[in-house]
Amino acid sequence: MKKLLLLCSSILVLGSVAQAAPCVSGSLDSYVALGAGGCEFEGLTFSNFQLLTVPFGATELPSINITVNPLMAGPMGGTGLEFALTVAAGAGSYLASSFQYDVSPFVIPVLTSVELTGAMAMGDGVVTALTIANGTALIALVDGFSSLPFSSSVIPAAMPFTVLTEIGVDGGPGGSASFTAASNRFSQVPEPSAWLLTATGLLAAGAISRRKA
Amino acid sequence: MKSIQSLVAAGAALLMLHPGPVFAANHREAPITAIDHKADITDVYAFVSYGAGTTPGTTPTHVTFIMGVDPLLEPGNGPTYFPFDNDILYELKIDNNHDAVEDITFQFRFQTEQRLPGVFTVYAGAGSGIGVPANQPNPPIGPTGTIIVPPQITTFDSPGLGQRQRYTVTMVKGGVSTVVTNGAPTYAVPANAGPRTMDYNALFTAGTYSYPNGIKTFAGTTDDAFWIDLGATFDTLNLRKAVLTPAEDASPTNTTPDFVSGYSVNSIAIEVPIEMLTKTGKKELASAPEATIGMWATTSRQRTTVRRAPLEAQNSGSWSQIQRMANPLVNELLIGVGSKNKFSMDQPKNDSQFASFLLDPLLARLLNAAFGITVPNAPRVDLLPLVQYTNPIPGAANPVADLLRLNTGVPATPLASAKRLGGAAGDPAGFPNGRRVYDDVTDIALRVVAGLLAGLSYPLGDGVNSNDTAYRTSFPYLGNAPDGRNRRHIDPGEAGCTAGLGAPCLP
Repeated sequence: MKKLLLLCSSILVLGSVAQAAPCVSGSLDSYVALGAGGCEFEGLTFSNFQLLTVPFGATELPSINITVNPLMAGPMGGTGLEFALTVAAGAGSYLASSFQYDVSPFVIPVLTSVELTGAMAMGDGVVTALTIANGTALIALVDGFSSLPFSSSVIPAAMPFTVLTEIGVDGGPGGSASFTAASNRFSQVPEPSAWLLTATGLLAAGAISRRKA
Repeated sequence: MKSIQSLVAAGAALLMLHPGPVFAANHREAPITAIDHKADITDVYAFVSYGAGTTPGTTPTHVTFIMGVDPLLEPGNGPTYFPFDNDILYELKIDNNHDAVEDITFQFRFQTEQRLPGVFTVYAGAGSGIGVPANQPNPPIGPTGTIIVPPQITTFDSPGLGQRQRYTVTMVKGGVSTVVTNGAPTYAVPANAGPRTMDYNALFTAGTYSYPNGIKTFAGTTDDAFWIDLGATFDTLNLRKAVLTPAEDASPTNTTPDFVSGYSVNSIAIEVPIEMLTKTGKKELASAPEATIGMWATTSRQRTTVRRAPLEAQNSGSWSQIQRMANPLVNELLIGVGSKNKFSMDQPKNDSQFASFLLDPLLARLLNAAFGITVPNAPRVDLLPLVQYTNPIPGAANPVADLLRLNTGVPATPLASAKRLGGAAGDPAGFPNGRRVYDDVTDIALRVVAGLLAGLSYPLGDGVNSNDTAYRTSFPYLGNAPDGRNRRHIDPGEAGCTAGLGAPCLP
């Protein structure tokens, strides 16, 4: 009984605390090559990178030229990845990259964000970064009239937590657009129930340890 | 493998033809256009141009393309009526080398101006104008007799034409864009608000433009050229008429109500010299593969829209397709609801992906169940000629694709001898060799799905054999939009089932 209680407590504790492992800067292609094993950074595992078909009419940005940089958690947000490529599109040119990956472990809701940096557009050009995380869509957008380079939302946890990101650098019929990087960040947002779960696990583990002693 | 390809092709063929249990051309056929009805393509037509004086064997010189958008417009629905959408790119696409990819595109864009921003309605007019009376309230507008209601709208410069739309047409060929409408402004014909307000016919004539290169264009609100017993069809095939007697089949008389009667639609039309359409740049004999072209129409919006009330929404980015249409009834009746949006937004060259909807068409089984007729077994290879280029073009080499295919070398059939059932009645210039405004595609499609091309001939039809409005006999071939004051929808049981005349419709 005690062993069972200890096992359950351990699972509860481990389930609410992410594991850490290293990711390094590299091309999007190199991340795709990581496969299901992925890499780890600040307790999150990024895996199962896949390139997706770009929208009709778009020219695919070469994934070998897109650099993926791990992002540390900080004032700008949670742990994440940056997808960097300096590129410009003139009138009639629409460049895009579409890919997806999994992030784990998430057992409580995740504050997910998408952000554009170095994006500029003129006329009816537009730069977009669309992220669909666990079915919820976020969009960052910079066009000739608006600058909405950041979007975030608290999204329910899932295992796996699948993130689709599509970057569009679109000169439009008569404008232009340029782009430097887009990023996704993730930080878990404990709900009261999640805190209670964690605390229960810790208390149970502590109680068992004390009895053993 | 070959049999699988055949199966897929046959399925795709069914996709193209299967009229399903409902026949409304393509009005509101996909979830995406049930909401975005300004981008909803209702019908597409392509035919060798004809005229009142066309005689048998007249050498074809021009082809007319028409696309209707924005379905079932109630003519009296003021005060702003039915402008084309400035934010939509309307396109007619032509494939002339049989690969289901466009080689020539005609792009239509609209610009709207509000010339009477202080008036509550966009069209105003009466006779020679109405002046203010002596007892006008204070403060006075002006001396007695000062015009307060402008004269009847008779031209695009009439002061009462508050909402005025200009348009441009650009031809894209070989990567080169040429503005067809370069020069004088071209205006869209407005909705027919009523006989007091406007001389619609004069505007229609003025809104038909000819250019030095032989092209003609038209855009405006017109009669919906399509006809069908729509309500009975959508009441789960509760048809008033489905099997026609020989007399009914041979007559242009309607026995059931045309549910599209009295409604308008926004139409775009262009007439183009054949030499500008063929791959060889010249007129070709019907026996030459190069004589045959394929076409389809699309509507597109820019990728992003940012709404910033109270400012107007701002669009940016490249064009993203909302809908396409070629053969009638395909997306309406063949494609499952879960795939209709994808079909709408995809390209004809990819149509083999929709084959699963067509391998065993539900409509054929319904016809079998409802009327006890024998229909061909699946897969329906008999329908393949309708989704591939056929003789004289090698059939195996071209992709299965929903295109409206037209042999530009086949002369137009003189109006007096043209058949509403088109090719099904031996009229070589009718659907499915292109589509004319008066081709009864509902009845044709019913019969083809029932097995006409497999040698099974049944006199199927919905009982609506003709339109409620007369078609023009020259470009753009469309009828006048019903006027908002006097429009008439012909209902079940109502007298005058055929264009308001003759016997009543079946109840």
